[in-house]
Amino acid sequence: MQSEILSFKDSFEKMIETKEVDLNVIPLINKLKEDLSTKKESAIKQNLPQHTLFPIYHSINICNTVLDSISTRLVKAKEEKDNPIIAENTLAIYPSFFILATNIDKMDLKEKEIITFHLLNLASNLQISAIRSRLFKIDEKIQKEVLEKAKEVVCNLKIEGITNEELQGSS
Amino acid sequence: MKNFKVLVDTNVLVSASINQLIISLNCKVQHHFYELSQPLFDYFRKNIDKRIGVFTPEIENSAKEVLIRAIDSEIKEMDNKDTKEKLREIEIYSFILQESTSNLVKNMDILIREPINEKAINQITHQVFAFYNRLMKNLGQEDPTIIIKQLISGAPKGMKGLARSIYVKQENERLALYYKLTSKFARDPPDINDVRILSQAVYFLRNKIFGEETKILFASTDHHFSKIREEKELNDFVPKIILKELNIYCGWPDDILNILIGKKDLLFL
Repeated sequence: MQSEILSFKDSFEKMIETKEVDLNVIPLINKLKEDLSTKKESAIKQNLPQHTLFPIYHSINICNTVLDSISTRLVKAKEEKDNPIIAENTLAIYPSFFILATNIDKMDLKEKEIITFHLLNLASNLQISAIRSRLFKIDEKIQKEVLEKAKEVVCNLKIEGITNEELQGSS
Repeated sequence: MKNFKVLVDTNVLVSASINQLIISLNCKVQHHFYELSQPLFDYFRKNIDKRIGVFTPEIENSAKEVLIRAIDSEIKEMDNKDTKEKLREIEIYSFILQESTSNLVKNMDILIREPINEKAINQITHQVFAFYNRLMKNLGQEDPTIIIKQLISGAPKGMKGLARSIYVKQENERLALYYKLTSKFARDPPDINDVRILSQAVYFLRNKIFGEETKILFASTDHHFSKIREEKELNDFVPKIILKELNIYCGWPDDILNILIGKKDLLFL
């Protein structure tokens, strides 16, 4: 996956040089998505505990959402006069993408201790920079079941320094 | 018209982000503490051209990490063996983390992200550390039992028992709040993060980062800065002393909003 990540960067640098989007990068994006999904499937098959599987699953979802958003904008770049802004935006988020994708790629799933917080932190950094570069379009078709369960979870979420006895009696 | 800038603490930023998720999911149960931050953010949004709210890179990192830790600690408690069920739960938590992070970005986008001068902060940090040491010592003198003893000593002989029961009853809520505050400080004394955050507010004020006349308000629900509340009683020992010594008003988001809209005034202003 490492060589694809680097080719990905080269392609967008060329687009900025030529001021022209190049849709030939889309198969490369699809290949990256495929590799990430394979890693996710392999993590699922390893029967890892939830706590270890979660950051891998979440990080890969974030990477794939970003890659999907890049593809969508590339395809519409000419008609939406997004050329070469899309390339500039992609390069702006590239450092966050590179570090997260590399961490995922090099992760040894047999290692007992995967640094979960570190991975989630990198995923969060990528999501934040991608939102700011308009490269994070969340899939609107969230399953009803997910939304219903999410309601319960959010209402009972314990947030450090917030959900404590200060809540009681506050008017 | 007074000029205000409001430094927004991590807990307020995170509360608003979670509250927006609660609203978007149409949750029936509303969480008071999360709701409390919402009107302040609505005000910031309505007055976006004035750029009243402020946060620092440190607050941003901290807010992001608080959201991650909240999800991470819930996941740590789970031990589902069934793969399908495991994935279903992971998908839900991934959705929540993704959405709350998106809300966090939306909230930060209506605030000013103000960088800080690390050298200046380091100098202020020493002073704020010393300030908290004094505050901890002074907290001992605020003990309502000392006040009760003084009151009882003034009662006539033979009436001291009755006076004690009356004064203890009178001071009951204050006593409870005082013990709540001291136990909070004993359990969770100000650490370097608290000191640094307050130092950043002091830095904005002293260095006139937002202009000569601009007053700095600090929106926080953290007991290291703001009042604590029990029923209708409140203990504002900490914010009072911060205001007196550092000239920063620390308050809950609703108090801060009341100042911004002119419903509440402060002597120092």
